Amino acid sequence: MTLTSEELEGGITKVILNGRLDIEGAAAVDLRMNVTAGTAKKLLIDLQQVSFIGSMGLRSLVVPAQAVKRRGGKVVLFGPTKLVEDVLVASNLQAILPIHHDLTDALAALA
Amino acid sequence: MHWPRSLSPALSDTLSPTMTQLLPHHVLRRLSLDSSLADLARVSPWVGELAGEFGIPSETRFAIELCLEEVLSNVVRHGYAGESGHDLIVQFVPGDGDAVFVVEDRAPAFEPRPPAETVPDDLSTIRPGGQGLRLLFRFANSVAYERLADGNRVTLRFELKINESVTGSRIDQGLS
Repeated sequence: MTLTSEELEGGITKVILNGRLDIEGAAAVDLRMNVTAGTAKKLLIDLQQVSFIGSMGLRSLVVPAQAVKRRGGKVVLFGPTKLVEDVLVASNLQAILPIHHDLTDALAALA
Repeated sequence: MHWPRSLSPALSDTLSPTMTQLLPHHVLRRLSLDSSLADLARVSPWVGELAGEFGIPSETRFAIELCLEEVLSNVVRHGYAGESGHDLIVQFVPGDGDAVFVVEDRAPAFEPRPPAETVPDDLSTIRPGGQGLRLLFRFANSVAYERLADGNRVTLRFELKINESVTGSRIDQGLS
């Protein structure tokens, strides 16, 4: 599991996750996710390259998202595969963490 | 009753009538794990081998890996309190149109039950680690629990959904 991040226009931090967000993958990115969330005001989490997610992986999304939201920021999820989105929906996360498949829409949601 | 050679006597002695109906005619695989989260990394490659051998579609494989991760990590973190060195066994039972996975441990009793259906209204109210059982009951077609004399047995059944990448003949060959 790898994590890369980049700063976009408008103060948006884009985090790109690549690999399996299983127990091992979650452990590999948790620290960097939390560090990134510690300063980001607008966070876009790119899930296009995430092939698997379990409850520990969900935790890797929820904890940083909660940190951003506590500071009045915004978080969106971008581009999950169908199976990963099935997990997000089954967890009811989509009700509070918007999922977008169009990058323009995702960026607009953070504006 | 003739049991597959790879089925442990301890397991065969304690199988319920339901489980005996689920038992395969001739194929069964077993994965022995240590009770550590690190060792659970062996599960996905094992399921991948089974998927290739038995023509398990990718969508079903995803559900199997998800549910096994939830059950096994629950046992490691809660049943064994994160202590390594304890037994954790997964057995695979292919059937006609479905795949059954049996997880056995020697931990204190714990029966997984479906959580109440709630929709969080705010991100702050969601429990970061509270989704495992919800996912388990959503992605497995059935979840059965049995308390053993000295442990727990959770039986997960998955219907084999045929997708474009898997031919019907391959499934017939693998599961007949």
